[in-house]
Amino acid sequence: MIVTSEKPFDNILEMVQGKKVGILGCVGGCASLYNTGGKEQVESLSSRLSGAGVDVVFASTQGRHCTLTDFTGIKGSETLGESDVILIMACGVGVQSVAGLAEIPVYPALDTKFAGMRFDSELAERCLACGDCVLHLTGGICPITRCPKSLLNGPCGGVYAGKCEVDRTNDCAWILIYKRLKELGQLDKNKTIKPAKDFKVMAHPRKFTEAL
Amino acid sequence: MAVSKFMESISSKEFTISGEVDPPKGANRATIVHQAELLKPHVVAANVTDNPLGIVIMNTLVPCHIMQNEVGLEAVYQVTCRDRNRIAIQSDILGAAALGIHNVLALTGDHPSLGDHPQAKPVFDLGSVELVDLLRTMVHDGTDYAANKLDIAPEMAIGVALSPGVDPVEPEIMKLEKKIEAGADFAQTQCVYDTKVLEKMLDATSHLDLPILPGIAPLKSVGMAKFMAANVPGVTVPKEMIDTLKNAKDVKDATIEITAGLLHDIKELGFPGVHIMPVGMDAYVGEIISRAGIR
Ligand code: SF4
Ligand code: SF4
Repeated sequence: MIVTSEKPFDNILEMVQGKKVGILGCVGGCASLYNTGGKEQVESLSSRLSGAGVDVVFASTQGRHCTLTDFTGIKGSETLGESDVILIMACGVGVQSVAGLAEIPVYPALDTKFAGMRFDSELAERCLACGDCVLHLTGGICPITRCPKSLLNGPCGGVYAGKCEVDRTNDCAWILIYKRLKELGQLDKNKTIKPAKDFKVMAHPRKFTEAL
Repeated sequence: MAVSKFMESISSKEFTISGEVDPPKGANRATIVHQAELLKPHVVAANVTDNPLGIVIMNTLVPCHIMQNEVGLEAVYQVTCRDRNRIAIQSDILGAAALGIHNVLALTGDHPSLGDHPQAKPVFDLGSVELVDLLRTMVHDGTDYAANKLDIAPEMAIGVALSPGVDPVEPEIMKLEKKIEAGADFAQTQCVYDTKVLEKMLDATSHLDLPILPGIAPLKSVGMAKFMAANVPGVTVPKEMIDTLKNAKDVKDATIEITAGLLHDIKELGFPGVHIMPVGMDAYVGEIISRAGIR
């Protein structure tokens, strides 16, 4: 899932002050799962903006828009045409998807944080989309994402009592990997040297042809 | 023929002592010459650090060159993966080779978040294992890391680091095995204060064919002991050492005595040498060595 958080309200207000605003959420998508772009959040932002004197002409509490191809699917989107700007409560992909179709400015109401999941009481980053997944070699724990140095061949000298030198509230990814591989009887997988990573496959912007 | 005096000393089965020079924060070349001159009578070579903790100091290569050229002390050039990608590292290695540097220590490097420029972008294009692989390619295959031929290949002994006191130690040993497979010629370790850790290290590495020089640094105060134990991974300081320092009338003398004791144990245990990080006590390195009964 793509993890997002709402921008500070003053920043949003600054973008849309004095404008007629349409708001689109990400209902049923990542941002609604993590309570940043669902029905309730759209309604809440809409009423907070109205309360601050902004004219909210449209607030969609349906659908997600990261794969949008036209506006006709958005219920009540006729009124969207009356707005001067569209605020998107979704990740940067959702914002750009709409911005590519709309004739008026499209602004982000959320900050896109990372690809991650709920873990304990927090949302935690889990994948950097490196383009060459190694999870089958690392006990299902991503060293690219969970080690701040993205090390491929074992822990650095900074691991302190199983914790990471960069943030001691985090477990060292490589100690987790070692323990998990041991449990799985797969420690052999850590014996082969993983070659230097090919960052060419991570060079952005990336694209590829879908297999249909 | 060994590639450096340092490797020659290790191969000759002589007890080999390396030291360490800290580049200045600033352009002060005199401190480099001064540290190197103090160390020269006592060590075969001295490491030069690469912006440890990500704190900005002088470029490692420059003290290496000054030491070798002006003082006649051989350098162990420390290279980390923190600030440079594989292009910059190879370029630096070629430059180092042209300056006559024949020892390199391949390190992952501390994360910039620990240093004085935590906003910096961490590089880590490679990790230490891949760095050893890159160095072996340049030195032994005579090509760059993309298999392009070098006109003259660098001639260097490739060193690696080891943190012997970490728990669990097995992942650290597995990583060391990979470093050996990738082409490591020697290892120097993180600071050790505890003879028990030294014994465990011997045990855990007895199956490996690699000269390992334990690292020691004079314990200058109770405060330093506490700091090291709390901040340096795997470092434990035995209570007796702390008590000795606490009760000492002459703290400097106690520091020298403790360090000499450790050095003595390292030799007795059969290690091929030691890596001394003087942490400002460069002028006492000779005394530490002689009190250990080594020379
Ligand atoms: S290795 Fe990690 S970053 Fe790469 S694709 Fe797999 S989970 Fe994502
Ligand atoms: S302590 Fe572990 S997770 Fe942290 S940088 Fe080192 S290897 Fe990576």
